Amino acid sequence: MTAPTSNISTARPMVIVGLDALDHWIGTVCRGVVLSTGAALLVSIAIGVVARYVITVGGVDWAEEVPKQLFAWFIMSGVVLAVQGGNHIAVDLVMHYLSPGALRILVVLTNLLVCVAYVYLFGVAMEVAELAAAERNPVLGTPGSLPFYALAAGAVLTAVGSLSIAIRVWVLGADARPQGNPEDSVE
Amino acid sequence: MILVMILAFFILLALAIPVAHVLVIASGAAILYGGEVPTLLVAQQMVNQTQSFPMLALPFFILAGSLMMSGRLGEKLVGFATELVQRYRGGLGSVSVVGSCVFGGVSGSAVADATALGGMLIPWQKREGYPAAFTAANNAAAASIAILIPPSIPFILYSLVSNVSIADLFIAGVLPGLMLTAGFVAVCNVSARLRGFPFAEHPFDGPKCRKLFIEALPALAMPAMILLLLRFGFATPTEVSVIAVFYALAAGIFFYRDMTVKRFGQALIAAGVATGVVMLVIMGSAIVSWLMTYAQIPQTFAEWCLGTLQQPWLIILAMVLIMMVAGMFIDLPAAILLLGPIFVPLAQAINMDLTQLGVVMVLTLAIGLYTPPVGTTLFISSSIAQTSILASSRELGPFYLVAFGTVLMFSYLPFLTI
Repeated sequence: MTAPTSNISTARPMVIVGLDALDHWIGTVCRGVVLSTGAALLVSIAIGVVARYVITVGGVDWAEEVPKQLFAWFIMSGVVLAVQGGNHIAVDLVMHYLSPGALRILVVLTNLLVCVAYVYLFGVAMEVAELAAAERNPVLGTPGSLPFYALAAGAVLTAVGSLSIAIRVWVLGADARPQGNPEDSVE
Repeated sequence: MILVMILAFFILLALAIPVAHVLVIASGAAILYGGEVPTLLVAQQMVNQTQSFPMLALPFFILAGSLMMSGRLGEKLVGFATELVQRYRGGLGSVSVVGSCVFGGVSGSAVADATALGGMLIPWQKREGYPAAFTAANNAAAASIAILIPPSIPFILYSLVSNVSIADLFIAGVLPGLMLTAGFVAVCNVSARLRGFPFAEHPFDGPKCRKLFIEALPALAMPAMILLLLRFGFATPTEVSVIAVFYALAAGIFFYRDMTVKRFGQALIAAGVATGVVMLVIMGSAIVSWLMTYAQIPQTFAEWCLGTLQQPWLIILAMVLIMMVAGMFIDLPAAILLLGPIFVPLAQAINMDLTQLGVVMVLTLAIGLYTPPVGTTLFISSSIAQTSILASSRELGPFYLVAFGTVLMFSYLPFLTI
């Protein structure tokens, strides 16, 4: 839930208020998926470790299959959160040489391009998911399409996130783009 | 098709689109343009990377580091490093170097180290009389040590493209990490002597150092534990990464007593975001690599190099130069994933050990982290030190000398790769 806004406050355009709510909702869902799948991955691998090395029963079949089903969801939720936070690594040299107006146009256009590309990826992922649905995982019996649905969901939410950034920057200027936190870097 | 991919890659990269998106879009555009390969390949290749059990080591090594670093441990590590070296000439500068070495064993990220250590140490060093540009250059270069000391994310990525064991790479990374540490400490020492930098003149406080060592011990022991478990084959890298998470949790709960459910949740989300960033690069690189293999680029490149350069030492030099230039413009994970599939067959053709190639690759690409125009740790350190990139770059000369020397040693002396 977003905090109620006052009528006399800083007059944030309605479209931005709407995007704040949408991004907040997407962020909450993705954080929930990261927490639940991350904890499940940790526990399932830990059970495998205990089974193999502590009680030496040679591993647990389902504990080996669960990670393969969940990892794609964990990754794609992280991808979407990284889009929202501006954490994806870019070579942003050109940005230092552009005027604010040109920078705004560049950020809007590049985010629109990413949006279109990921909408296309969504379509491709859905197509492969339908093909992979016929396969079943031997122990859990879950369809082989689950990781493809994760890719499709991540792709469509990445497209929404990029569109949101494009609109924000168009309305508020280039400084409205997310710029990431260096401490979260993986380099 | 490949030409379209290469053109799209460089144009989109120059337009500041994130590298991971560039890889996905450029390869997708090439497939659509060529029409020889079905577009379904994009989704298949991307999902294939998420089905790799060894890749699960990534989020859990990141999580273990995040759990360790988000508590009081950071202060303890810096305190220990300070007490160890500050009384020597150039000691205040050396704290950044030794700190990066011990931090690297926990965080595994050069940029995180540059930010965390720089934020703590640069203002202190400036206050004590060090030139701002030197503190920035020192912090930027020292942070690169972090990615050589295990657990190292770049080595995990290299193992993906080369099939070299993660354990062998982690072990091989320790010596160059320690050599860079010794080299950068020497730079601090010589610079301090030549330029009269101040140093703490109080005597060595043994009991204080012992106390700080004991407080920092759980963190210092983590890389050792990881190496031992991997070296003696007790568990796979993914299992070791999960053991490291439980170890970090135990240290936070029982030793430092600062672990909370909230902190664990925040660290897990941070690990999820970092994993998303790296894995999307891996997923995008997988499509690019598939297309390059389809077009026989690695084989053609290897044949061209063997036919033109002929001498192994020249081929190694060419690889190092290409990596240096790539490291200046492309981020480290993407550079490893893109250059790896091209250089691995070439190294095999000249009988170069693939573990040695991995060490040389990470060492060389790490120089790009503190080299303009896209030096991430250089930007961060200069910003913290409130000095210009140009001024910091001027101070980097001796650090480059040490780094290039180390690269050349590991390139041409295979026995150094243990």
